[in-house]
Amino acid sequence: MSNFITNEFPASSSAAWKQKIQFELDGADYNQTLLTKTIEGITISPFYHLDTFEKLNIPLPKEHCKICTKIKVSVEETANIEAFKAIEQGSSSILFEVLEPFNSTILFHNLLQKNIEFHFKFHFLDEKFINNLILKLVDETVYFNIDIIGNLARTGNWYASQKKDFSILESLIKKNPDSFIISVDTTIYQNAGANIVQQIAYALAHANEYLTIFGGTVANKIHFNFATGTHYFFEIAKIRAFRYLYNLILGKYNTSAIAKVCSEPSLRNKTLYGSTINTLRSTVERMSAILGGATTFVNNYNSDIFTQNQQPILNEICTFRKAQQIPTDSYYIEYVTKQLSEKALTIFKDIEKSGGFLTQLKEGTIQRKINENAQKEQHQFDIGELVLLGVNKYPNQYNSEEDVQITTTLKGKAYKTLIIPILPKRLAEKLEQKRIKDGA
Amino acid sequence: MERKDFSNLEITVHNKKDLIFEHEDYIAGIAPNLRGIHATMYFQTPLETKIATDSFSKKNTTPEIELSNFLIESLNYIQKGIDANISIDIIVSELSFTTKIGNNHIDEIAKMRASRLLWSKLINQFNPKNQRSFALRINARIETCINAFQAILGGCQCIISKDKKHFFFEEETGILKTIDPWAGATFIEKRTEEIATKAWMLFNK
Repeated sequence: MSNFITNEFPASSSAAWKQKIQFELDGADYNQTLLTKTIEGITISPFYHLDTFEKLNIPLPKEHCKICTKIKVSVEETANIEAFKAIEQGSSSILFEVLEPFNSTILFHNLLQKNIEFHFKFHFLDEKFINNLILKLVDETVYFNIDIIGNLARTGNWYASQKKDFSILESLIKKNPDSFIISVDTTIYQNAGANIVQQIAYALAHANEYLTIFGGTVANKIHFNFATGTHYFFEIAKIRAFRYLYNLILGKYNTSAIAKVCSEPSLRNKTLYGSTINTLRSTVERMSAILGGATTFVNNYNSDIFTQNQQPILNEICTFRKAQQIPTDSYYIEYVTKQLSEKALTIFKDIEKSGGFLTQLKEGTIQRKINENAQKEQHQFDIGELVLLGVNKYPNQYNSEEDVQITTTLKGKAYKTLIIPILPKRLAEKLEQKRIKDGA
Repeated sequence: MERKDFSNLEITVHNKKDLIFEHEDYIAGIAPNLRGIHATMYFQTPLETKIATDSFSKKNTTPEIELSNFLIESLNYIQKGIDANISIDIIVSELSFTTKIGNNHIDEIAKMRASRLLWSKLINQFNPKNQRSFALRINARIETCINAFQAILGGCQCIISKDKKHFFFEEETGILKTIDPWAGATFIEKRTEEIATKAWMLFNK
C-alpha cells in the first residue's frame, strides 16, 4: 500500500492526544470530565491508542452466527406452523420451550433434514422422553440444554433431588456421548442483575461443576446460554473474555474447546410500554452477540412490522463474513476483554477456593452478590445515572403499545424451595407499577 | 473427580497486533483528524440532532464515489472563493459534509473516518492558517434510527432524522464513552485505508 495517506502529516501519539485534550478541557478536570467508571469497576478512558495496545488471544468459532426463533410449545400443530413461519422469515434455528412431554412426530412434521438447528428449553427432566427425542432427532443438530444446576438456581429446587438429577444427567451423557446434552444457562444471572464480570465468573464456575463431576471429555459438548444487554462494547467483550477463560480453565483438564454460545436479549432493560425501543435494544444486543462470537442468537417469535424493518440491517451484519473476527485488535474492545477476564478470573478462583459454585449457591453467597449488584444498578437507575428511554428519561415521549413479551411482575404460586432462587428483575418495574397505579 | 486447583491460573497478555496500518497512530483533534475533529469529541462538544423537515435525495452510491464527488464539489467551491480573493480559512468555515448513512455498518464507519482524512489532505494544499480548517464537520442523514448507530460510531457531529428514537444510542449503549471506539480493528482500519485510497484516486482523475 502506498504511503499517500501518511506522507503529508507527521505521525502522532497518545501523549500528543493527551496534551490536546488538556488544551480543549481548558482547566476542567480530566478524571471527572472524561473518565467513566462502570459498575464492574472498570474505568473507560476517553481514548485508546496503538501506544498502549494489549490483547488476549481469543479462540473464536469458525461458523456464522445462526438466528434462532423461540417458540413456546403448548399445541404441537401450532408450534409446528410457527416454526415454518420463522424459517420462512430467515431463521436457521428454532428453540422450543416446553412445559411437558410432547408428541414429537407432530411437532417435527416436515421440519427434519432441512439443515435447521434445534434447541430445547425443558421445564421438566424425563430421561425416557429425552432418550426417545434423541433417537427421533438423530440426524439433526440439536442442543438439549439440560441444566440441573441452572434449574436449581432459577427455581430453588432440583427437578427431583440432587442425587437423582445428577444420575439422570450422567446416564443421558453416557448413552449419548456425541449429543449436546448439558447446558450452562447464565441468562438468569444477567436478568437478575449480576454485572458482566460476575456473569463471566459464574458461567465458568457453573460449568466447572459439570467438569468436576463428568470430567474434561464433556467440555466441548456443553452449550452456553448468555443474556446480552445494551452496554455494546462490554457485551462484545463479555463473550470473548468468557471464551478465553473457558479455555484457560480447560487447560487444567488437558483439553480445549471452542464453546457453543447462544445469546438472547436481556430482560432486565426491557420496558413495558416501549415495544419500539425494546426492538432497538434487542437489535443492538443481537449485533453485539454476533460480533462477540455467539454461535446462535435467539429472538422471540415476533411478527411485528418494526422488527421486520430492522431485518435487512441485521441480515447485513449476520452475513458479514467472519463477524466474530471484526473486533480483533480493536484497542478498546481488546482492553475491555482483558479487564473483564482479569476480574472474572479472580472471582472464579474465589468461588473455587470456597468449595465451588454449587456450595456458594446453597449458602446463598451467589444470590447475595447478585442482589448487591442489582441494588446498586437499581439505585443508578433511580437517580437517573442509568437511563431507560421512555421510563426514567422522557417518560412520555416514547410511548408505544404494550410489549406483550414483557411480563410486568413474576407472579406465581408460592412454593417451598430448597435454596433462595435467583429471580429476574427488570429495572423499570417499580416506575411502571407506579404509572399503572397513578393511571388507574 | 477431585476438584482442580485453579489458584495459579494467570491470563497471558500480548501487545502485538496482527496487522499495523501506517495511518494508525493518528489521533483526534490534530490534522488529519482521522479519529475525530475534537480531541475530547462528544465529551466537550455534544452530538447535535436535528429533525429533518425535508427529504434528502442523494443517490445511493459506493462510499468511494460519494467521497470523491464531495472532494470535487468542495474543490470547485474553494477555487471560486480563491478566485474572488477570499482566504481559505473563511471559505472552508462554511463547508461541512452532509452524508446519507446506509445499512452497511462497517463501510459507513470507515467512510466517515476516511472523509476526515481526505479533507485534511485537500485543505493542506491551500496552506490554511487556522488549524480548525483541517477539521471536517459531518452531518449524518438517517432514514431509520438504527443507522444512527454507525453515524455515531464513525464520529459525526450532527444527526438529522425524522424522529428522536436514535437518542437510545446516546443514552443506553455507552458508545459515546470513548472516542472512535472501533479504531485498531483490522476490518475497520483496512476498510478505512481502502476507501481513502480509492476515493483519492477517483478524485485525482
